[in-house]
Amino acid sequence: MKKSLIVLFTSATLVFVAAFGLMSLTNGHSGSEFVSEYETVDYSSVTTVDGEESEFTFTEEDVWEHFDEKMSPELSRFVSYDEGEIFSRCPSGMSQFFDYEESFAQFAIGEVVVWEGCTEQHYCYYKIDMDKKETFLKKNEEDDYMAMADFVEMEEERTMAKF
Amino acid sequence: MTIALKYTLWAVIAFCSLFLAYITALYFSFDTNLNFLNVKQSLISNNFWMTSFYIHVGTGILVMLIGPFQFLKWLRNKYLEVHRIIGRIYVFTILGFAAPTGLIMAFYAEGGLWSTIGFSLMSITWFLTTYLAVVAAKNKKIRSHEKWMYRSYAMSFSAVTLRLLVPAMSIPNFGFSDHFVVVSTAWISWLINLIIIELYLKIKFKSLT
Repeated sequence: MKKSLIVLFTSATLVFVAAFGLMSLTNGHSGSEFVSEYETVDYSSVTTVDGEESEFTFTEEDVWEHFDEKMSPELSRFVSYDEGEIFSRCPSGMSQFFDYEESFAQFAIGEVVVWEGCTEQHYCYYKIDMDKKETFLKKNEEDDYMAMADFVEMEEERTMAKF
Repeated sequence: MTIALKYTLWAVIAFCSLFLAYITALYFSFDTNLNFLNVKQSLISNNFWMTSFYIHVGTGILVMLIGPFQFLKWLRNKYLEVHRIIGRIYVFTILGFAAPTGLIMAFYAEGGLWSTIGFSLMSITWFLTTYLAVVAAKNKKIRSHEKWMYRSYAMSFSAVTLRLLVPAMSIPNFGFSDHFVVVSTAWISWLINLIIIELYLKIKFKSLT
């Protein structure tokens, strides 16, 4: 009797939860809400929806490629992490937000951020000439962009001064 | 396996469990801008999700903290009643709260449908392994009970594996995308534990026969 009650209770709980889950997936809790924020959008294809040509000469995929190969390895050296924060559900590391509004022609504009676990922090702003593959960075919005090599040198000096 | 190695392994597992309990206990400051809640800002006004989250975290901490003591042979032999009381708390917490709320949270998991399926199976397997351990204990099948309890704790320990895998797989040299890390760890974190525990049980019970 006791055993049957346990089985009944647990089965009912599981059925309820499964039913709720299925309802959620089919009733608006699904879709974009469930889509990871880590997924990227190819904005160049968005601009062709109404028949217009892309206003950029590149895709967001190209920006990610440039970021992963040229920017992230250089800039990651200057970031340190709190161990308590990185042991979490979210991947830590450098990431970027492509600014669809600000970008134009061959210039990709956006923000470099650092994920420390699920906590996101601003690192710098970028402007990339995608034709020439030249990167310009600035720490704050009011600053002027500088070549990445100069920015890296400045960051090196800053981190050296810290120690 | 030597006694020293067994106790070292136990100490490592207990330390990891304690560390996980420490980092998740911070959620009970009820600050909604903390760690995992930072990426769940769209859900913090959803009382159903928030209640599930806090129940899952609270009961998960309890499970992680009491679980390792169930595997201490001397404690089990000397204080059988204590073993039974802790065991009852452990299974009641998982079957009644931690696994069902884990299943609820799976439907809101980061990474979309594949993450949802991964975490749902994780919760169901966690529930079943614990339930089968209870059934075996009730039927006085002690060896079977022990095996299912090992599997159950391996599933509980997925919370630790998950939090070790995510930062490890985020190392830029591996070149995994964030999305891939989020989705794949929803599966690997518990499958790897099940594989390891099956191998361990094979060695342990082979040496007993």
